[in-house]
Amino acid sequence: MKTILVVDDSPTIRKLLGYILKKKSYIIAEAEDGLDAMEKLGHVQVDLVIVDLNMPNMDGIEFVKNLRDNYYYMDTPVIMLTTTKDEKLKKDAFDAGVNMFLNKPVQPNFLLYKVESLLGEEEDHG
Amino acid sequence: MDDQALQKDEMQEIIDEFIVESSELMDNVIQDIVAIEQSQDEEKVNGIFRAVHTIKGTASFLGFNVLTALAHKGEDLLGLVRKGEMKTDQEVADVLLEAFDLMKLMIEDIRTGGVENHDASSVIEKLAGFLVSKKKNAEPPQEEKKKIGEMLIEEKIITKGELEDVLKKQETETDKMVGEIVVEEKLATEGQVKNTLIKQKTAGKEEQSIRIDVKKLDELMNLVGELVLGKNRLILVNSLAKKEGGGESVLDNLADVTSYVEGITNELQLSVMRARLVPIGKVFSKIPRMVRDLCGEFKKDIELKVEGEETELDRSLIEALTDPMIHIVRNSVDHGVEVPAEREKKGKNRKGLLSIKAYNEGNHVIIDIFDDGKGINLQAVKDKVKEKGLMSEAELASLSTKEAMNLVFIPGLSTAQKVSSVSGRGVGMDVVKTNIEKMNGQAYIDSEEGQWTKLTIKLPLTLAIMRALIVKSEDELFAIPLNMVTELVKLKEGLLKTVDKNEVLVLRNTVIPLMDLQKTFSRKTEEKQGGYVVICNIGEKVVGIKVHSVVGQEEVVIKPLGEFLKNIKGISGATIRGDGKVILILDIPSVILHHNNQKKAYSHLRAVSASAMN
Repeated sequence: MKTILVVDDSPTIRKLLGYILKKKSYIIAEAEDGLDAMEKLGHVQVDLVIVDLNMPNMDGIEFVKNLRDNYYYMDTPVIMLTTTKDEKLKKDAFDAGVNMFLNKPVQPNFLLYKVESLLGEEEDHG
Repeated sequence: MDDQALQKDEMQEIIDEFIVESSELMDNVIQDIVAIEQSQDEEKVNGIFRAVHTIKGTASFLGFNVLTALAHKGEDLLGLVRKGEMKTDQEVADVLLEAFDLMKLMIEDIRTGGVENHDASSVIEKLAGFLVSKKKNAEPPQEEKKKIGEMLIEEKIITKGELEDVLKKQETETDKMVGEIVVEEKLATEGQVKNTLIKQKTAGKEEQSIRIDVKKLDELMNLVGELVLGKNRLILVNSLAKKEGGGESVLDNLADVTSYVEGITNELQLSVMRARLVPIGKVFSKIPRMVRDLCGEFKKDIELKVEGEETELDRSLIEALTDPMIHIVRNSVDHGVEVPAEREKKGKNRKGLLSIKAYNEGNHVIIDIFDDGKGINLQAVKDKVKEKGLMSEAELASLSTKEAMNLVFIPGLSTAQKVSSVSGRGVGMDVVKTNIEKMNGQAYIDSEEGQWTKLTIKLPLTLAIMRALIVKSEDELFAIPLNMVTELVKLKEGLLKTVDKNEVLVLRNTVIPLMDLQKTFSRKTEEKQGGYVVICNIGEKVVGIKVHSVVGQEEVVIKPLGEFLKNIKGISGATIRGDGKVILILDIPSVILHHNNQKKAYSHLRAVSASAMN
């Protein structure tokens, strides 16, 4: 079974994503900001990360940069899910190593489809 | 939102979560807006921006489109503030507050009806108007740079003088950060500056916490209460066993277990009590906004200083404290602090000061509310009291300044010349005092006319467990809250006097009204000689309680008397002692109130004894 880490400072969003992802029986781990997520990654093996952009302490882009610096998470798929439509931030996110950039609100089934396909790709390579 | 993807109950749960989260965020945001209106603080602006952004994101997910649109425009405006392209002056703060108030209303709509019921188009338009027309130049955000310097001083890496030099230098080399200059000047190493910078970033991180249903905590508290009673019984059994003798080893064991259980119970009780404590900031958080609005209404200019928001207090007290605090602050703004022109004439600073400070003192929390306004006109208070026929001239003359000051707490008294919409109707201070006394607390006032007024509130940390003096009347035991007891007097002949069929105690030239527990609560009426008087003190009022004997101090767990018995005057609850007996806890404020009805006798004697002394 695959584990997905949801990083968002809003507990509502974390709960919502949790419910959506549980439909396909993924295991969910939650973190409330980038710092918290880095800590969680220290003791949970994660297969995919869904991360918000604007968060306190460590924002999404900073987090992804840190993530890519870590040997174990160099290739882990990352979806950035944010309200921001700012093109510059979008570019920054891709530069940092985000695999996919989605805008809130996202249709649940669409998100599930994207998660599935990103995880599938992973398997093909590995 | 797609209904097939989520079940209805799941959706409801998520919406509930959203309501809790966003109302909390909005409360903080409104508070912070008031703060940044006073002084621009980058951290706070970022916090506000993030909160509004979060609400926007979540609301869009849940399909609350009006809320989303409003949050979106608010976020745009905040974006300008964040980038330093707009200054948060009163105008900007006003429109932001209007938007956030509306957002709060909508969240409330969602809570009650599931949909937003308010129209946001006019506010959105207003926000949009600000976005296009008013790009004001903001001051360069000095705040953060300053902070690094201050932190370096705190860490004792550089001195104040050195920092001043650095800041001077920064004025000529504006593109450099304080940290860089400090390193250049070799005042600190690069490592030290970096460490401080990291500290600065993490300083704001909140403590870890979880949300717990209050009911669960109450349950825990009840259980701990039972445990405390069990412990008391065990202590009693232990001492009984010692008295009656028995096997040495059994006794040793019992003593061991007793002290062990005692220790654990005490600690458990303390930590459960602490779990119920909430920072007092919850009450204070509403005040900045209120002062701001009241200042607008009364055309006053007031600087608000709040200290000690982190001081903790039992949850139930926090709720009960809100109303009195609002009353007091309104009073200070309306009647205390003068309008700027009047202040100037008196040679005071145009800007008035209202300072609120909370701190711990032993098992109590003290709240000081201070304003540098016109103070209390003692003569006006006295005149009013006389005019209303509440006290005689002789009585008023015999009062100390402090006693006279506290006359403002008498019901039906207001010294304000004009009645305004918020205060001056003569209800207020007495309500404040009764509310505080209901919480086992006390309120005093102190003032210097024309200069300042200070109101002090003293509250116990918790209501559920307290130390009490156990007294005996006939065969009946009663508990008196220990924080009110000031002294015990052993009765000797001649100490008691009778005035208008009411007994009083003359102690060191003061006359103290007496309440005889035997007469009030026991059925038997035969007189018994001797005994004690427990002198109780609440604020400036004193009452003596006549008892037959005093048993000692004990920790009692307050249990309510239940639906049918809850309105008995003079009794606030009951507790169970070590031997399993139920005893009643006396409610001293209501005992005093009862005695105030017999005040005339009291004042009569006061005059008599005063003449007798001379």
